[in-house]
Amino acid sequence: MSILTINGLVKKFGALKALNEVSFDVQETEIVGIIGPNGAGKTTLFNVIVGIYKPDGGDVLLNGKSVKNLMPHDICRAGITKTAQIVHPFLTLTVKENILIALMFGQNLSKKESSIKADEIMEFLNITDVKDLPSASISLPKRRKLELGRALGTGAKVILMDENLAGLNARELDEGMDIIRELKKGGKTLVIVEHIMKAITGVCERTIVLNYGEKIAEGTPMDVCNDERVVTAYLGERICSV
Amino acid sequence: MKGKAYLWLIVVALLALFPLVEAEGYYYRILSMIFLWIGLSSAWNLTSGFTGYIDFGSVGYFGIGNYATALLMTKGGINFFLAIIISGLMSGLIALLIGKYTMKLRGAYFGIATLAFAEAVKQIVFEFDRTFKTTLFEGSHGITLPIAPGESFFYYTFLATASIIVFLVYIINGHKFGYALKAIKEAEDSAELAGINTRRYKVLAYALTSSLIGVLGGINAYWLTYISPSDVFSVIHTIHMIIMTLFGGIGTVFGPVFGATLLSLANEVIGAKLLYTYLLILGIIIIVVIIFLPRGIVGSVSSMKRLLKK
Repeated sequence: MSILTINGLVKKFGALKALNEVSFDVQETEIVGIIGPNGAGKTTLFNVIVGIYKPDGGDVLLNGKSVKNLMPHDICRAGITKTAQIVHPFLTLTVKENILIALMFGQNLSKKESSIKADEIMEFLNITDVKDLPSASISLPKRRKLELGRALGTGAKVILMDENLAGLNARELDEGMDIIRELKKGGKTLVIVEHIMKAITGVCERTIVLNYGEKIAEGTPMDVCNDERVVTAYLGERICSV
Repeated sequence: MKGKAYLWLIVVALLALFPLVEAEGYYYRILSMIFLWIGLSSAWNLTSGFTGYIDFGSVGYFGIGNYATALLMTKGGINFFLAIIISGLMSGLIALLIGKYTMKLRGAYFGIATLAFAEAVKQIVFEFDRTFKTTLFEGSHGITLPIAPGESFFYYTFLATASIIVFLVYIINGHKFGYALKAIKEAEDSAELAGINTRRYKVLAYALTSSLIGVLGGINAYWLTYISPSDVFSVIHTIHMIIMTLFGGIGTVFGPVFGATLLSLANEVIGAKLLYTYLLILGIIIIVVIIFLPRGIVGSVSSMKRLLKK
């Protein structure tokens, strides 16, 4: 059984259908990429899945159980969280405290247990050097890692990553992709929205293409890149040679 | 931090021994007043300072506490200590109901709603008797309470209550609950995504703050022995809580303690000598603090320490 099932999801903003009957499945420990032009509904899709927006139709199932009527914190505890494209860390709190909060509330751990696990997460993400700095004073690449750290802290099995790799240099991008591969090995299921095609082709096993709120293609990254509709809607030219 | 905690214990112990000095009643009154404001500002800070939801209606719960204790003692013949505890519970319960709806609002809208709440309660107390042809709240006549025991009684009651409140805020600050409130202040959506039931924690903080303010209101009623709606529901009390907290350092544990102490003293010293220019001087002090120490005294000192460390 798939861990995450999106079933005919509809989200309207007034007359605009931001999501129009979007359906797909995600298997456990799979890495699924979602691409599409700006305004295609990628971020809206994530926000509906994690409960920030309520859908106008369709359903979101986690391990076969509907989560669409839950609040974001309940969905998080059930096992789905996201890293936001525009990062909002708890600015005056330290990096460690940020992750500590996710551990204490997402997994309902004591402060002591959380402290040990927070150190492990920071070690894994290679941000231990800034652990006692307020998150307001760290660089953007580190803030993006912190955002991921917070998602890991919640213990959610499914992590939706909204452009977590945007704005990174080549070396940081490779490091980010390595982290994603490690997470899969650790049992996480990842859905990734990204504009960087290198990241999509590099880590995703399957790619879904959204355009104007509709799913227009699905398949391996290679297949999708060569799909005529995807090229016209998004890529503009063939970027992958077969 | 441990050393600091001992320092505070010593301060409280010294204050507890103060009545042995047999000072004039005037000093008891000033200190009692300072403790009252430390308690009120610290309680206010717990919701508004920690979650960032600036409450402009706290005086509503102060007034409810005053009236609850006054009515329980005069009409119910209930013991003072029991009366203030019931007053606190009542304020807390009303806050649960009010908070459930107002805490959905953000920013200025929350402030406006709470301000309206406090004014509404004041009007109810003013007009209830006339409207329903009864004698419950006594309207603008006010209520006179039984003759109170001596000044040292209130000195100890206020000292104990204020110490408990500050200690409670100190514990919450390092506790899971405190982290939830701080996360809400910094980024409420991120807090939800981290698994925090933001609405529950906000409403809990609001109810806790309100019940503490209600208890202080109850003590205040017995202390003053006469209360009227225009006194105990005066919006100036809310403004004092806000200014004292901002002055000392909003969102810090000991900021309201310093803010309340310094401004209450200033109120007493400058206010006694310069009755009319006092508010002007106070206003200037506040403007200077807001411009040069926007994080308050305690907040600015701790950020300076951090800078020096670097």
